[in-house]
Amino acid sequence: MEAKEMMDIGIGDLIPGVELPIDVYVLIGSGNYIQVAKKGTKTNLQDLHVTEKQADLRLYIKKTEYSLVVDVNSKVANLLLKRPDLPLDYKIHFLKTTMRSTFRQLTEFGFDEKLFVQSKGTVSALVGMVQKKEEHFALIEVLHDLPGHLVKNSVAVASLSVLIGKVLGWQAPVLEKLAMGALFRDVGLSLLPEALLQKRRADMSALERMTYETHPKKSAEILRRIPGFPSEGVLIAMEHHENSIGQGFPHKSHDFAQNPLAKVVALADLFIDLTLPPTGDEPKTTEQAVHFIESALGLPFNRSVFLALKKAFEIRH
Amino acid sequence: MSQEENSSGQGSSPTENAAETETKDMSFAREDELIKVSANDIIPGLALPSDVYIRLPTGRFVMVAKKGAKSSIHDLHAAESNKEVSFYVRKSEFLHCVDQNIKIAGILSRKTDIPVERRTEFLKIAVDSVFKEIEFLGFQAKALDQARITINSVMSIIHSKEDYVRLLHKINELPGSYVKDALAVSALAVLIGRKMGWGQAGSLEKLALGGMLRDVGLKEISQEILDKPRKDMTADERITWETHPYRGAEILRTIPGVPFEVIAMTLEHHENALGVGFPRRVRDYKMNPYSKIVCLADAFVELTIKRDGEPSRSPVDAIHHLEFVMGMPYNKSCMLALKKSLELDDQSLLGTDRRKMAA
Repeated sequence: MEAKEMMDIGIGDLIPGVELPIDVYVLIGSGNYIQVAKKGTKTNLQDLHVTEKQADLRLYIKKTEYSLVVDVNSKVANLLLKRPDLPLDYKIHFLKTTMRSTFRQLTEFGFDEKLFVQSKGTVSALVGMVQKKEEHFALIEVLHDLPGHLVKNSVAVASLSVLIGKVLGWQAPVLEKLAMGALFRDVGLSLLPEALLQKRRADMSALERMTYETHPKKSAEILRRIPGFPSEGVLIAMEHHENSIGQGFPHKSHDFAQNPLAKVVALADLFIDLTLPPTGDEPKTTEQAVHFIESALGLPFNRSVFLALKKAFEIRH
Repeated sequence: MSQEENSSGQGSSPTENAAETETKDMSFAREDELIKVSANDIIPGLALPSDVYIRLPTGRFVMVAKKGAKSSIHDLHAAESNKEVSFYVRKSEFLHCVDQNIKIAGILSRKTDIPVERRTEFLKIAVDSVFKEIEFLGFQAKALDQARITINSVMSIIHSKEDYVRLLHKINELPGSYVKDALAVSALAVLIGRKMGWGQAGSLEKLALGGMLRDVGLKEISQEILDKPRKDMTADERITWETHPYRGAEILRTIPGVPFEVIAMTLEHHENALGVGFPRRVRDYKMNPYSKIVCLADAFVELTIKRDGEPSRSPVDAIHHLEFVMGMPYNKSCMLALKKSLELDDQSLLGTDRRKMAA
């Protein structure tokens, strides 16, 4: 195997106890890859001799086969997440593994129809799982372990959007579109330079900021080309940085001109940015974030949606 | 390439080798390592806080004064022979310049035997350097601390109407635009706050900080729009310009330690009591109490500060304009406090009105 054909994965990328969808290799000192597990075997990677001896050992698979990992993870998660007898901890663990592999596929190979189809079941399962704030908080808790901010942020915003949507009385088909849009609203960021994405807003120049503010349009352009992707999801991507007072981007549209689902995601996006900020920033508590949006930012979001958020977190004042 | 080859320089071109040597030699510097400063950015008569460079016509940067030297940058031959010459300091050393400027401004601001005008000059240098730091080195927690120290110096200078009028007069003589505005709004907000009975230093500090940082969102607006006077802006350009308060609030929320009230002041500093401001068009009763003061101070300073090609109004004229032409669109208590701070009564304003009518 040549190095350019291979990609590394963590043990956490694979759901244990399930038939391996791919051959698994390790890299040895000479630069060669040696197969340690065969496709189709039910061997747990966690039980392999090599991983026991060396906890930080990286496993390798063929790049062309990563999609199979995502496929299996999605299918298993879909089956398990819908089972009412499974404890919440298990469900969250499976959801985390699936989301991790979905976003790895997205960042390394881009978003395509296949990934969209694979994500449908997971999104549906997420909608079924997040019933109240307890499930949302439990999910947020485990997200900390995930590598990369994009996946954490995307799953958290999707989960919160579902929670708000449920308080607003929306039904499952609408909630699924809401979660799908929230989950993939930031795919356009992949088209921006990495150096720009690493910068904090306060350090960006006017030109850099202008470039950053093109990402909702870029996301919408990517998503609208995916056959079957809900049009509401495309609108969510386009409008997830707008706000009700016309101070958002890219269109500076006001509340009355915005898609109802996008209003939910726009609020969820800011709320998660305050409570689950990128590494290094001090996170706000739920109450602090609500107070901040209401008092310091003067509640620049749809009132009904904001009230639903407060209701979801049982904040009365 | 082997290490031997590398060390002997066989793999590098002569130009690369020369550039490498220049970088190692502290007498030279590369453009991306430097920040452009003016002679006014460095307080004269003190040991230089950093090495100082000038740009040669060839594009190279050469050191003209060494860190620690007691010679003033103003005394350099280059500065004497060419008033337009620009100086450069290393980015890594610019923080030393900022620190020194703030320290000196802080010490002098408390010396009541020095005229307010002189203290204002040093204060302006300090504010200027903090703004440059934010622009070139990013808005880090250090910059916030330095802004805090600077506004404490502002608070030390302003105690009476006379102090403010002298500060305003001096500011109008100095170059720059945003820095002057920031300093004047900050000082006036403190004056109004004190007159309204806001005795706590913490509250006044937040007020002054809000006055100073309120326009930080302008850094995300293109220079082309910023350079245009309002009358020349298209509707779209104006809409873009009017996003700066919200942008400012969004920027400040990412800086750890910025008080909540400072973010609210930044968001609301262009609102007014009538609900015809921007971005939210909120009325007086919905505005943050700090914002009510800062938006009045902002409007007053805009009228009284001298700008390129525009005459400035006297404080009496500015109050008259806000009250009788604009219909007093600001909070009544704040306006009353401003008038009291400037010791203006209805008689003096009436006199202005009569003079204007006669004219």
